[in-house]
Amino acid sequence: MLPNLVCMNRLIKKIHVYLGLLNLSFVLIFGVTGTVATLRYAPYRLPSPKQPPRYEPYEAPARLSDQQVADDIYRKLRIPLTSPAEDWAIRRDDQNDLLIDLYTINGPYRVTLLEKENRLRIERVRESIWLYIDNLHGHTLQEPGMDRPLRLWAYYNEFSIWSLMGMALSGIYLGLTSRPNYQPARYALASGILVFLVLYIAIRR
Amino acid sequence: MYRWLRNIHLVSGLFSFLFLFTYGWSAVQMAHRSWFSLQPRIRETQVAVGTEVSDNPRALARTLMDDYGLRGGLDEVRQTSEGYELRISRPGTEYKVSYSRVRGEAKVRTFRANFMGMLNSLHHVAGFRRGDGLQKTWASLVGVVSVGLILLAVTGIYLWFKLFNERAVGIVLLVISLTYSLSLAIWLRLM
Repeated sequence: MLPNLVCMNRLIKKIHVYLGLLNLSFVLIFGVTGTVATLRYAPYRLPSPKQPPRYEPYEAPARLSDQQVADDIYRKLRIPLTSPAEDWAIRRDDQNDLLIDLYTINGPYRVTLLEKENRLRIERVRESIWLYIDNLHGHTLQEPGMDRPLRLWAYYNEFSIWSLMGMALSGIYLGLTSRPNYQPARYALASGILVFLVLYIAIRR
Repeated sequence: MYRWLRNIHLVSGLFSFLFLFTYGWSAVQMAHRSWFSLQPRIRETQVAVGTEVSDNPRALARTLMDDYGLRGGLDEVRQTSEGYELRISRPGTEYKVSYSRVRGEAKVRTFRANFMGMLNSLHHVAGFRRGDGLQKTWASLVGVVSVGLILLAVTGIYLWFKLFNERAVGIVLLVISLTYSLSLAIWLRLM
């Protein structure tokens, strides 16, 4: 190999290894998320709350709409990791009580406004560890929630997304240049690209 | 052992390359929605249908699939004042159908995702619960690539550890990344 190419190889190998070490947790999280999603047979159902509900006094202002009341409750409760409820997370139940899901990365808090009793029923629904990992993998800078640990996680996620692409590109370079005569590597690359393209075109059609 | 694990790392990495790259690229799109346009191409057609489907959305869906080439799962049915609406979808393509009893016709609006929209759709295809054979084949490859990713991580750590001159810097980077990620993950779980 030419000396310049050797230097280049060393540098790219270093970048590849360092990115891998800096993103080990995320690479595992991406892998586990994909594996769990593949193996999940039953449609997703929110688990029942395991802890007994807690109650807090609350009187809904008379002139507010359901969305405005939901925002008011969100501000009043200040539950960590939540963000204001979107309209799809607000509805009326069979007793016509207002039901608000305040989502967190661990699962939602289900808040019921018991208007006749002037109080809120608050139930915590905790997702399984697998769904928690799934939520971790999907928590990007785009997601709502301004709590510091969530923002720090989103920054790490951002770094890992770019790193994954960097590792893929540096890996392909290393795979093709460091052992150019290793045939299984070339077949693996060619078959991976071919399978991807064939499936992409067939699904797209 | 070293040679064996190096081959696994190399082969699984090269096979997964395009999958991983496109997953990364679609993740960038999801994290920065304003950077990309997901505006689909929309086409509208009218289809005359017989009265036998006037109260049967499933029959209409089947007619559209058999006679007009619509493909996908029927995943939304809603009654309207004129008749009903339904949605047939598959990754990258969505058909919104409005059936009018008065006119005896169905209006089919086809939404075809652009390239980024298609990558976004494929990013969310997983599992074998729904979808046709193609989607299930894709889902099985998602499983293969996901397991491959875990293998890449595990074999990668072993291979790095064998590169003796890289150990010191590597250990520092690994400790920093694990401390950061694990403490955040545990902190968030306990909150």
